[in-house]
Amino acid sequence: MALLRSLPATLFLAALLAAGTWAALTVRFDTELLPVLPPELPSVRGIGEYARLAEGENEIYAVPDPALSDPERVRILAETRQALSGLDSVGSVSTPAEEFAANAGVFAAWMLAHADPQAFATVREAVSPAQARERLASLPSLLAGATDPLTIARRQIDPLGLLPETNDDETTAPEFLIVRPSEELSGSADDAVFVESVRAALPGDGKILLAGRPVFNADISRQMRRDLLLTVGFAAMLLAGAFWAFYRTLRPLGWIMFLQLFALLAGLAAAGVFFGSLNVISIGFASILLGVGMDYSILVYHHFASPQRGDRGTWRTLRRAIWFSAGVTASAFYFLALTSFPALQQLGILVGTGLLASALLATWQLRLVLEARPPAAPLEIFRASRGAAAFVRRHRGLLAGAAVLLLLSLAWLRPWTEPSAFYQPSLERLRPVGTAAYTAQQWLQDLDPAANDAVYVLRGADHDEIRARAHGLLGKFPGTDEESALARIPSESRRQANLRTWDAGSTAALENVFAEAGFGPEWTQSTLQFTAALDAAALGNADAFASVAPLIRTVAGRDARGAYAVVRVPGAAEQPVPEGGWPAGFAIFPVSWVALNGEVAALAQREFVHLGLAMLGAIIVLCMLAQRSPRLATLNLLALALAGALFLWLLRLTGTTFSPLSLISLPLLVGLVVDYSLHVLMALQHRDGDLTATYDQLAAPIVLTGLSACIGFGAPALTGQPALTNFGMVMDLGIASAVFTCLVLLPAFFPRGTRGDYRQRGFYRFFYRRRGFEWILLGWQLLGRRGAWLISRSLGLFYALTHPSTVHAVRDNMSMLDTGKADFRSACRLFMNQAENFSTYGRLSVRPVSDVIDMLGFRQGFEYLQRARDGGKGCLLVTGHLGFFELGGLVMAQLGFPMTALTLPEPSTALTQWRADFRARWGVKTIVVGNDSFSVLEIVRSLHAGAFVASLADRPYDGNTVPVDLPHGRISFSTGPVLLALLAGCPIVPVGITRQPDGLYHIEARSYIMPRWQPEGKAATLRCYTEEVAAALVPLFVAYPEQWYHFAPLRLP
Amino acid sequence: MKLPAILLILPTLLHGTFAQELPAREADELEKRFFRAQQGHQTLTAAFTQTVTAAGLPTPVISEGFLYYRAPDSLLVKYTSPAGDFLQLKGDRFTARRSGGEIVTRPVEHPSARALAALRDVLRGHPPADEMTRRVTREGAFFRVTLTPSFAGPAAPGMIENLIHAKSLQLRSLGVSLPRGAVMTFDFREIRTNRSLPAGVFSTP
Repeated sequence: MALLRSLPATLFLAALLAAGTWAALTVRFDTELLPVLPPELPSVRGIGEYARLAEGENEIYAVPDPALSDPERVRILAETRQALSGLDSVGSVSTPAEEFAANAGVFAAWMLAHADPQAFATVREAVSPAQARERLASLPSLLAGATDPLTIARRQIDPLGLLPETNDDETTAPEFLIVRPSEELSGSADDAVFVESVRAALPGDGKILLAGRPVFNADISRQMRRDLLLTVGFAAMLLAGAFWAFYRTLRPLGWIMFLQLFALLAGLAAAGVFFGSLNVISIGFASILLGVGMDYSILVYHHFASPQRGDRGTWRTLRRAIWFSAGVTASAFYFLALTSFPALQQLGILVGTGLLASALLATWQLRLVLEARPPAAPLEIFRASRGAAAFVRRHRGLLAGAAVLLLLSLAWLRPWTEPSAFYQPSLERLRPVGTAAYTAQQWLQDLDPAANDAVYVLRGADHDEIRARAHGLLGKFPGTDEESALARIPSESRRQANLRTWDAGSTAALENVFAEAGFGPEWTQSTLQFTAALDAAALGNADAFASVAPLIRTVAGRDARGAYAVVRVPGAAEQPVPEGGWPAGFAIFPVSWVALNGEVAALAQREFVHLGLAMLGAIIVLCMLAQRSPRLATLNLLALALAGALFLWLLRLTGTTFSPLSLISLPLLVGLVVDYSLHVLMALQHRDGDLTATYDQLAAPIVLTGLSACIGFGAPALTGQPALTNFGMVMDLGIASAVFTCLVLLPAFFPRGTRGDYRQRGFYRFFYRRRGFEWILLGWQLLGRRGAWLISRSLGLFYALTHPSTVHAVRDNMSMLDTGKADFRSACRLFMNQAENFSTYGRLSVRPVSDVIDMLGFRQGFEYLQRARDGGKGCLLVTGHLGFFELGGLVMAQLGFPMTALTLPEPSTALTQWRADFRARWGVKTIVVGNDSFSVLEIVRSLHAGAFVASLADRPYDGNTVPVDLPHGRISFSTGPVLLALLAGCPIVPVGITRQPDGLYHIEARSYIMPRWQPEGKAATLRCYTEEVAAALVPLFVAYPEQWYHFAPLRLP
Repeated sequence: MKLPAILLILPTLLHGTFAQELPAREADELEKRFFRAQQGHQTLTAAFTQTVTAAGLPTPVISEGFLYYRAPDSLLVKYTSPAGDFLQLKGDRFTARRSGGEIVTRPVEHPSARALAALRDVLRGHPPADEMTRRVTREGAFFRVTLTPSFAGPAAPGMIENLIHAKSLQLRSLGVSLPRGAVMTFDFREIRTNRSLPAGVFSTP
């Protein structure tokens, strides 16, 4: 057991096990949807408060299918009542109407106590003995003639006609039953026992279902646990199958799953520590972790199963990539903690923590295990990888073109102007279906006769204030019966005033009147209940209305936050937000999912922009840290853009849209793309663009991890919940986009041979042609001096930013001159200076030949040149790749020196000829040096004719070199110039042409060297004079390191 | 509201002896005969007495009036005491005045028209559709038909009792038990069929 041999690794696992087990045992499962939404949203608060007011803690509702006809519903309710009434666990079974009727008199009294004083006075008079007698005497006439059963029933409750007449001719069948337990329910176990006993006794073959808090608590949390096990189990099974299909073994998978379990425990521990619960959305973290976290393990496994397992450099690159990708993805999730949505906060913390744990476990514990007993991957994997790499390489241009088209197609999709094509904000899509409890709740809503009412919870210091506010709200809904809506809102001031006028002996007096008239309790009970409640209230009895407290609570009341009232606007359920917005000055909490949709959509949109920008910034920073190359970081972003475009197309083609839940997949997908692209780019960089080797290392694990992520996210769809199905579909499409983009499209943009000679790079090969110089000339003509200056320096900077390995070579070369001037900025300046040199060709081309003199500034050491001319044997002007050395020849030709330039062949004959022609305009002859003796003869002949031949010594093209010292290193210097001087018997003048801050060029001839054969022989002679030439030139290099243009490494070992 | 359902009971016409329950097959046969008899009526008039009794009500409340029917779709229940109240169905329109109030017109589908529409269906000879338990006994020259709705609504009748003259198949008495214990009874007399009706009897009073 390799793991047990490492004490820190074992202790770490033990700590995770302890923390995760503690969390698993203590964490709660929140079954409600509402707590996953921001609590500060008015509708969230309204719906939550109303649910607490309307639902009793212990009540269960037996709800019949609303599709049943009235008689069927009546029958099934009667059968249910009969079945449940006999249960020991059931205390009572009733209908809402019965519960109301039992205390209708008390409720009417409560309403009247808060009524308009005039209405109260009317009733007060009506119950006075005189009026009561009169009303009773007229009662027979109301029961005579064309009366109906409803009138008779109403009069039996209210023989004095105290209640207002209504136009309601319809009576309704009972909607549902309220079932109360015989004993208080004190926990989840009690809930489950009670619910099960009631459910077992239900008749009706599923035509009557149970709803209510105990049902949700017992039912949904059980289902959530079952769903969790089901999805994790199914995902694990599929993952095992996929892993076996790739590697033909399951033993390592056992280790991987074992360690993934600890990652899950880490997530659970985070849930326990930070939240104490898992909600309906964050419960999906397990499959997300399983899907994404396994990436790291599979990558590690593949590394140790591949022939490169012993390559420490590859392992370091992989480990770094895993850590950075885990960091980027975890950061994307941690950013979710900044949203207002509790569900996303929870999910972000859980997944972020789990991912970091996954990365640690993969690169630590799993490595220990695999190193101890290295596995071997089937060779077929590598054959397939190489085949795929060959395909991608062959179609590189096609793939790059397709990728560009993909990006351009975004202009057609226009997701920024038509977001509704990709996002449906309705929260209905989040609501679980298929569970009996939710179906029952839906039935309950369908049966609600007031289902079309818009409901609001209004709050204030007291109910008088709320009434005033409600007036403003109701005024926003034209046509609303304001009086009727306000009637249900109590009024402290009215109650006080009304009860002061009430005769507390009304009940006793009325009893006498009823007795005199011969009415029995069947007719008098409710009226006497009514007056008794008012009598008690008038006497200051706090419990006067206690018997209807549960009912009153759903209408109005007072709690720790002050007074509240529930206001209904009939018919406004579908448009609960008034046109023109809410009335200003007070808080209204709509009890409406319609309003909630709007609020959530607005908030999500706001936060999406802020969060997206913050995430993007973090991703750029982290990618830069990981890649240490703006070019590679840019490719990371390109991968993001391509994957995003492909993802949108897949959404469009499959008709899939984001739901508020699946929106959270966005940061996850961003994390995945960054994850894959980091691995691919770092591997390509490490392997110098070798796609075959990169595919060997990454293709199989990325495909497998993509597959495992698809399984992880797709598995929750097994629950049949629309929210999870949509989430799974969105994620699977996103993962497919990420894998395809990073494995197939992205390599097409990674330049081949990025770490090789700059002359092999695309930029150089494309631009360092005759056409490149012609474009420079054209550009100068079109843009003028300032424009050309800006463009050329920008191009130089662009080149530097996109060619990190060339920059690396330049910095190394510069560091041999001055270690303090070899930083990135200095290197960038060098590239910009060189670009400006090229631009100067344009300047020269548009000005008269003689004007080149104007570009000259300070001249130094011209006496050496004069002496050479006076010698009549010509002269070798030796310089380095310093400054604009080309200019030196042109200037000297204008000064009357017969100039010849020695050059190596350019990449193309056309360019060689173009440059020769360019020099010829100033009278400078060109000799192209080759590996033959003819060019040497031509040069010597020219020298004998008195020519001044310009040559470069610091970049030898053949093996005839001498190592020379620079302040911090050694480079090769060509012995060619010295040999030519010896052959021609002419002097050598080392010279440098450098650009000064004022824009002019400084020509400095450093010395006059007359080589003579040494007695020690040829080699010693060449070394001696070459070192003398170098000694004259190196100080110039040191003085102008940013003008010493070498783009390939020069340093000698 | 469920009053009309009561009238659906009428179709059950039975033969038999006093207080002796009729077998179901005979009850079915008589029901068919009853509906056939109704289909033969082009007009029908009757005087009636309506009595409301209830536990706790000191004295019964009595009303009187006349019933007029003309096939196929006109029916009027006109009260003489208290005078002015009426219930009328004409085609698909229901008109009523209750307790001396204003005349109200509603479509025939309105819940307040259900009882009268059900009675009209019976007079047309259409069997009832509601599910009820039926018990028929012979009481001398009458059949007593007791109907109990299988499942009662909150304001629907708990029980309906019809007294039908065995020979003429005429409904002589109809009693409806209401949920809170009240009972409405209609006693019919002076029943005439296929006679000419007073001119303009179905014009709105």
